[in-house]
Amino acid sequence: MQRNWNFLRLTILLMLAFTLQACGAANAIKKAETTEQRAYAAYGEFTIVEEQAAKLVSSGQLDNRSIAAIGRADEAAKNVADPMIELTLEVTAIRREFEEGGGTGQERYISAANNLNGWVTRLIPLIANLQSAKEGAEQ
Amino acid sequence: MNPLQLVMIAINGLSVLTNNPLIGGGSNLKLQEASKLLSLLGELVTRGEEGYEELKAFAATIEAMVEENRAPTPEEWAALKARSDAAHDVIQEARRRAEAELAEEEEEEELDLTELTDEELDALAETHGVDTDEAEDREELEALVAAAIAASKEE
Repeated sequence: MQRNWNFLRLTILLMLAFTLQACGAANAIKKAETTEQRAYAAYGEFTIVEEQAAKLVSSGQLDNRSIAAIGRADEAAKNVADPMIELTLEVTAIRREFEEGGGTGQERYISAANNLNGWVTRLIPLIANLQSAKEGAEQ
Repeated sequence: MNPLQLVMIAINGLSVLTNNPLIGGGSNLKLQEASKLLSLLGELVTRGEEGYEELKAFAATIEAMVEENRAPTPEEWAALKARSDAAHDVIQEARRRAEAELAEEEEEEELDLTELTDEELDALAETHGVDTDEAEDREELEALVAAAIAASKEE
């Protein structure tokens, strides 16, 4: 059993490396380094998927249930994505304050950045849900 | 299948495999799933759909931002949000229409044709393109209208 597990673990690690390499070219979130860049990358990916979904629902090719499903997934993602904008601008302002003055600014920045990261983490699966709803409708 | 979904499937698949504590007897099956995921990844690399190209282009703008060591500007956020708002409005308007039509269909589903007056039944028949002259009697007209309603739901 241990031998099988080691082989499986190696396979999984190889797959993970391959996945990251394969999707690296189009993975904006992975390319981002700071929290603000990551939030912008997540919002951008959401927007691109949303635009594709908008073209699809306008195409006249979908039934009403598929359109409704895409609409619900879009609303759920948008409700998380939009508040991120204000949060990100706030994080940027706090970061500048910290970089200029140091001191307690660092604690505020870490707290704000962690909060923003939480929102980004919430948004990512919602983007996947929207993409799934879109793909499900296309099939 | 869109490359982004392939990525999500692969990543979800990896998550399932890594989180499943049951190894040993099930490991052969998991290795077969791993092979399937690898072939999906191969497809991912070679596809070039519109969304994938857009994502690549956007990823390049993030790379540039990283190189410049800066945060997105309020203007960049505003431009992106404007695009999202426009797409969102289209989707939600389509959703409103779709849900209204679905609600109407559900009302018709619950409709007991035998309880309609002759005039109401004739009006419903006309709505669904049923020629009332084709029916010899009321019962037959009800059957034709019911069939037309069922057919419209399948479309």
